[in-house]
Amino acid sequence: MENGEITLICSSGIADISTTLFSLLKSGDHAIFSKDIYGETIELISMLRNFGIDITTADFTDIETLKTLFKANTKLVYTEIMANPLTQVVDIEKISSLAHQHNCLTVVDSTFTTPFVIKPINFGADIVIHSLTKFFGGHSDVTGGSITSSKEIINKIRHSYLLLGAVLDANSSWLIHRSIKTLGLRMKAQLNNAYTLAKALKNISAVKEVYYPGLEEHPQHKLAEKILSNGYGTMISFRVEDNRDKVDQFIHSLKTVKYLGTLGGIRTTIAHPVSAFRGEFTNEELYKMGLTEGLIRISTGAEDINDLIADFTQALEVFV
Amino acid sequence: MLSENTEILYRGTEQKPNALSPETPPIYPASAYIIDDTRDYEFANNGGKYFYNRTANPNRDGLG
Repeated sequence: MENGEITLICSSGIADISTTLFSLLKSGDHAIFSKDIYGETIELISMLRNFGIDITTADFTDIETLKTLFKANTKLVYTEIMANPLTQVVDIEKISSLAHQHNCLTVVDSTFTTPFVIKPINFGADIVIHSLTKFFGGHSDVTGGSITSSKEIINKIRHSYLLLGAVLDANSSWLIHRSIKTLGLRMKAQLNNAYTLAKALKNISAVKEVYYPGLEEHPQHKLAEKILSNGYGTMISFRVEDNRDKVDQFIHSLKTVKYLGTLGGIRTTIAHPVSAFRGEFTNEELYKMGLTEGLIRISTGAEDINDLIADFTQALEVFV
Repeated sequence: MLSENTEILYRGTEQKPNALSPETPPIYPASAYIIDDTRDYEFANNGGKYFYNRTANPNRDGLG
């Protein structure tokens, strides 16, 4: 589905990330990571530093600054297409081209977008990884990951993949294989719902801001329009009053939508990004990252869109 | 009232825990567990309850 030559199936999303990075980087190497990536990938960066790997993190929406960060020993550039939770979109074509000018590999975690929305290899990426736990599994009942690339690159990763024990068990493989058959159907419904829900949220007075690449006011809307197909992703974030008690009341008031520490399922879920990062960053750091108490992230499911809008509308009344 | 399309996604997901006492432990394939609110997340994240399969799973804990 990703237009690569071989895919390795892993025991989790973080297993595919760690296997890829530990296979391709060694002590003395330098790598550049987007600063807006999955929280546990950020934690993994600390582990890589312990192994003598030099890591720089940067805002990948700022290509001019990114150009200045390459060193003679830079081996790899790592990014996600759509950042969590503020949905910034990166120009993967420019990033891949820049990496190749410096003989670096581009690794893309495309979990948020799926090949139904973008195939990063078509834009020059060398390796695409996914948490199969999310959209591919689709039903929040399985954990897995994948690494897709050329034969040449996979041959460099395969040995570590086996030695690190990152392989997926048979039952989970079977479940994900079954789920992939409906990925297109689910994504179509979820993408349509996300677009309509994002627009509806904008019209609710308690909502101060909506972060969704499909909205014209999104800073990377034109780029998203250019590189994404079939829709703008199913992830939406929105901002309400920075009041934790009211946020909890809002969560309690939701009748169908649930708060869950995952995403990409067929049922709509929400997350509270500040809670996920609270122990790892100071309040000041979180504020600088745009993560405040009033920020809520939605993973849009395939419910009837009118039910979704009604549920969010009634629950958001706690802020009025 | 929810539409049929929405109801079908949720029907059967509610359990009656007190009515269940299987002789063998059930299998928990869920990749994540429902969180009540931000305080409950903090409690879960500090090991108070299950919230993400990779972090902790009842079957794995039973085995470990």
